[in-house]
Amino acid sequence: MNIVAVAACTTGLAHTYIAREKLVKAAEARGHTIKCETQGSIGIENELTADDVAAADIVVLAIDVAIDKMERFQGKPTVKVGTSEVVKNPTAFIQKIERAMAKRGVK
Amino acid sequence: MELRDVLTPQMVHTGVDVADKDGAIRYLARVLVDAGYVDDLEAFVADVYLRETEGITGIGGGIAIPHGKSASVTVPAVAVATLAHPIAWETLDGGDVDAVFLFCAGDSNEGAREHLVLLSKVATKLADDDLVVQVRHAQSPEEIVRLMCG
Repeated sequence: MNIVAVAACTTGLAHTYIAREKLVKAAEARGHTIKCETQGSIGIENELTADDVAAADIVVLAIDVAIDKMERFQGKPTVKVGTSEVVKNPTAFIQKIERAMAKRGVK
Repeated sequence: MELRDVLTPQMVHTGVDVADKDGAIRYLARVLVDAGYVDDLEAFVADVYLRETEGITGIGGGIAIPHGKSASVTVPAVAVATLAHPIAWETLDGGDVDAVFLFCAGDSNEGAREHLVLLSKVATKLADDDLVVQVRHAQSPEEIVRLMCG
């Protein structure tokens, strides 16, 4: 499946970037396409475009705080999770999404 | 600026002998003060503990990443210690911690973007489980710098 994601933690210093990397590695290892934006102390990096979001099967929000530009994801299937869960066991998290999306017929 | 400019051997200590979490935080806060990145040790430590109340900083695999966003910080930086003995810490995997990365950033990060970008790169590397194992077993600050900046 095609995943777009946003990672953001409270301080925006460390967890945000660890979560992004873990999410991307786990998703790619399971054969998915993923683009993950970060919203942290250096602002928005790797920003998702309207095309990225339009093409995505699912939006993953790995966030501990409210994020900017939420309106982009209106109407898209969205999963929200804390950065900790993604850092702790990214593969299990991706598998959970796979099961949920399989019910919608998306692989 | 590159990773090597913020992660210097001076900021990395191996085989550090501390009794507990407080000892580790204070040891690394002192390293940041001595390097000139933090100007008030007690104020900074208080801000690190404030962040500790907001969520778990033990990310699993023996690594903890406490951090302080504090007016006492003059330049965003990171100090690293590998420990002589594992210590108890609140962690995502329930295990103890034997390597600590203490990050610091100012209240206002104006003009500090370049440093913050480099800190985000340090954090990104900590998502690499194999690299983390190598860092924990490294014998010298120079080896850790080489691993992290490779």
